[in-house]
Amino acid sequence: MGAASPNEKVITGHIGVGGMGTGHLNFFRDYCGAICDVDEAHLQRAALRIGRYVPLYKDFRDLLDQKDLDGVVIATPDHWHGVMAIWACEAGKDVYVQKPACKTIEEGRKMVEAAERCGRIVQVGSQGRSTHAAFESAAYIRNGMIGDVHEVDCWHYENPVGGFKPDGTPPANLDWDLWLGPARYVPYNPDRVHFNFRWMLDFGGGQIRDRGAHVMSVAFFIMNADHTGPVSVEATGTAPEKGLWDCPPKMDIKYSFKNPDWVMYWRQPGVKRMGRGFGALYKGSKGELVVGGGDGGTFSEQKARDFKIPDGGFVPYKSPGHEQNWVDCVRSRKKPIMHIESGHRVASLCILGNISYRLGRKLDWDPVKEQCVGDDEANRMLAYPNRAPWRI
Amino acid sequence: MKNQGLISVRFALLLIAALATGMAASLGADDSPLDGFLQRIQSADDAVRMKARLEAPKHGAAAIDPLAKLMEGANREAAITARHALSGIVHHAGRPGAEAERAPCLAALVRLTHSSRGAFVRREALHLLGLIGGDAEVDAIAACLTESARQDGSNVQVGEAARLALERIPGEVAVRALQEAVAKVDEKRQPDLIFSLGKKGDMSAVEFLLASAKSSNDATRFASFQALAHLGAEVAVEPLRKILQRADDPLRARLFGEYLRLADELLETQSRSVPYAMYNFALRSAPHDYQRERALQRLCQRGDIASVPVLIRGLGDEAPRVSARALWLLDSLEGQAVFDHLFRGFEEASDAAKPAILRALAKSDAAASKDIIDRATGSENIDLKITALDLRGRVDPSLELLYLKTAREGSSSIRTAALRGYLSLAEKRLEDGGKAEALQMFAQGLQTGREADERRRALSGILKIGDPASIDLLAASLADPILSREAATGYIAFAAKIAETDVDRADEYLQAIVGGKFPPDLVVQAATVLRKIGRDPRRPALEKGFVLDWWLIGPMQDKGTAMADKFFPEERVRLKVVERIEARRYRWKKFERLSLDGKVNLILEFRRSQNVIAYAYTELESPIVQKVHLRIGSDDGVKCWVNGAKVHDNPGPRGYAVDQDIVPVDLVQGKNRILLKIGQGTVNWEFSLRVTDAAGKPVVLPGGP
Repeated sequence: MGAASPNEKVITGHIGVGGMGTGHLNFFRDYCGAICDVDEAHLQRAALRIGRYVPLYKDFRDLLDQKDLDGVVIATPDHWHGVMAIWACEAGKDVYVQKPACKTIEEGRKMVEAAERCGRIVQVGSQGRSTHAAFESAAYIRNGMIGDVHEVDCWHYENPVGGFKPDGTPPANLDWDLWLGPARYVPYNPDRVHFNFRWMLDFGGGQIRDRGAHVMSVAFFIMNADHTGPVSVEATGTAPEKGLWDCPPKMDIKYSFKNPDWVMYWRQPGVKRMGRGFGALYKGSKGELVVGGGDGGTFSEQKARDFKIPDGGFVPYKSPGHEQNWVDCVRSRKKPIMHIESGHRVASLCILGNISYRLGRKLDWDPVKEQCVGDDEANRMLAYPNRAPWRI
Repeated sequence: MKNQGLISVRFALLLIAALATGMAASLGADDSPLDGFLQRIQSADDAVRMKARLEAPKHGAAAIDPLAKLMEGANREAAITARHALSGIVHHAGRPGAEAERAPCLAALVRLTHSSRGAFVRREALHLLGLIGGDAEVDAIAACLTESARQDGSNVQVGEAARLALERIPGEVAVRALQEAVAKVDEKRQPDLIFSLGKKGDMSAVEFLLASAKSSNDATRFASFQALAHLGAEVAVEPLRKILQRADDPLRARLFGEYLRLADELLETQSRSVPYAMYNFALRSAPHDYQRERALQRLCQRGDIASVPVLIRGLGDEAPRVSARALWLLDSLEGQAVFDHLFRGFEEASDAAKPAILRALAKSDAAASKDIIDRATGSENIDLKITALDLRGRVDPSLELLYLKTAREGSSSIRTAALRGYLSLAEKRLEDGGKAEALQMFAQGLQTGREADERRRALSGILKIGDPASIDLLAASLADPILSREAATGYIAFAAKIAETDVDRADEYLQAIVGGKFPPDLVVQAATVLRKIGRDPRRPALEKGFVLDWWLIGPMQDKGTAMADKFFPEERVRLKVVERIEARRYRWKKFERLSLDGKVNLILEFRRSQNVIAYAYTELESPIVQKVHLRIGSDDGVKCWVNGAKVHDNPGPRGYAVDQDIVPVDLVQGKNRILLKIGQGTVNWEFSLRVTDAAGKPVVLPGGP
């Protein structure tokens, strides 16, 4: 149907049903109208989980052809997000796409354009924003309780070292070429799939793209920075000494923002607070607030939990739950809490951090033009041409 | 031809220069720290390799070729480090202001693209050239793009890497190289090159693309228009429109998508007139409802009163998603002016458009539209009459057959209201005690309903009537993504009632649930009914010779040697005795979980699932002395004993499949003791055993004890 009314049921197609995709099926079990995965084993497992007949596909293009689907839920490795989300929008489907929204700046901008031009609702899966703790923290800070925030210090434990298995032949249940899709060609290696993709810069980009897309999403939500970006990004890191996985175990990034002026740090490992493996400390002119976690498990300090929004005070966007928020917006056609513009801006932080690390130099960034200033090589890394036939 | 000759000469000169640079680098290697650096890159010491990698940029172009050789070497860690070192050199040379360092690096990278080098190195070099290369490197890259495909296919991905590099390198030279390559590559690859031209955003390619858009090859033609749309080339509007006006063009539907993209691009750069004309054309003529919906949205900004006439047109669209979107956009508009527009629109609209506009009027101002709705309830226009009655929440029993006919054959915007009316009549009939007629009507509704909610309402009616004779009406809904659960639940309940008079027939229905893809709780429910009526739900598996009467014991920890180590079941099987290994107690337990595919899932039996082993024991009663085949599948390894003698040993690890190992054994007359030992590393842990003759025909033997 597409433009579902509040009384209509939203029917979803699920692309990628590995770890995250299977998790989504818990919420979407009754909504699910099709499943797609390039791994037959994932497909069969998900079909059992749904427990009723639904069409199964290996190729997401076939799923997009299924007319009765209102939306698609994309939980593939990152390098597929852009193509699938854009093609889904062009096929008239609304989209829930896992975080990080995109693999490159160009891809993210095209996703924003596709959503706008096709009139689709696109939510990015940084669900931390939908937690009550994010709401409480945003209410606390945006109502001035710690004054003007001048620094956000994000921490996260290190990236793993690994990838010691040799290249090999893909198992019969996996279509390797379709798994790679738009990414540049590399031979099959069990340490590249499935979640292992996360630990390679050309694919998953490490924890900064995984949890960073959570922690920094909450930070942008609190700092009201969804529409903008930093003016400079400077990353350093220590590369892993061995193995195929090339994301730096340790990493430090400084993002500088203008108007208002503030800085954000991404530190791996950084200083652990609240006993959490990741989170962010907000430093203001009148005090500080720690927000632990940032994904489904987000935690605010007692003082934020106790805070009551004064009459006329700022009331943050309140989401009933991230997936429910998307379903509600598919029906109402309102903007979801982590709409694609926000998702793209948050993913841009992760992408720029990794580019700066790879190039070993500071990037000056124009957040309006979305270009690096005076660095041709860095600018070429903002886009990543897709292998055929995955055109966007 | 002349141009091609020039390019070849330039490429040759470039290669000579590149080779010279490489030779110079090699000649100087003995006197430079390069050798030491390369030694350290290959060191077995991780820290030494890392340190060397970080110093790579200072060795510059001279290190590129030897690093590439290491990338292809057998020393894996050295190859990985060399690749990172090479990237480090290139990124360092790519920094702003480093043009002098960049030139020799580019020359060295060009040398790596030569067809004499391995595919991995060539791909990597092309990727890096895409990041820092310029006009001077284009010819070498283009040469990779156009070389003939090798028989072993090893250079296919090299060609693709070359295309991606050219897509990245800015400037007219790369545009021209792509254009020239189109004629040289095989037809299958042409569309991708053409699309790359569009991605480059260089309007100098427009003329070339317009020419290729006339190709007789559909893929080339489509890619050309796609590229023109990406470029926002206004000159493509008319050629595209001409094609879109031809109903028989095989690309028409897909090209409408590109037409809309082109309109979007034009809207960014110029006045509304051209793109709005394009959207209007798409709203009238695009074949897909989502394309018309998109055009409607682009034409009508939410809250813009001037868009009402277009929205009225959208309301008349036969696709519900378009009329629903028009209604949603109208929703943001308020006031008498909107109502007046709609009122006039209603009076002037065609019969087909009137129902949707009536709906919009009701939504715009329910009180003011009361009269017009009441008048419409008496209309000769059946669609309008049904809509008006629907808006009033009424049904007309005299229209029963017309409701059904309209629900089946009417335009999609009216079908829902018609079916709603028909099902309301069915429910009323049921209330009045007309079960048989109501059942018939619900069955028609179930068959006719296109939306899940409609089908659910019809199915609920059938289930409410509860006549087991109607079980076959539910069969189609078992495969309905939305209704299958409700249908299967009803199916089981009906089958249980049928069993009271006809066990065989009920067995057939219930086996369909047990053997189908239904949720475990429904399968168990059906299996329970089967057992109650004296039928074994495992029958299909047993008939295939699977053994399902197992006793299990475990898990025993595997510190790496457990498959070889001898645990107590290999010496004695005492099913009633609590055994001990050090402080830990073990009890045999009967496998009682329902297995329909013959497989025993040990993860469900023993929660601990990493680096363990377990045993399975059964006794097969053979009526005669006979030779049989034990067909075993397992995840991971498996050992098997028959009557105390080891007959099979497959240490694994492996994933499970049926009949992975075929083990010929001799069975004695009477009781035969079968013991299996199943290993487990990580993830899945399961096994099955099937008994067959030598030809694979199942041998069904009672199991126990």
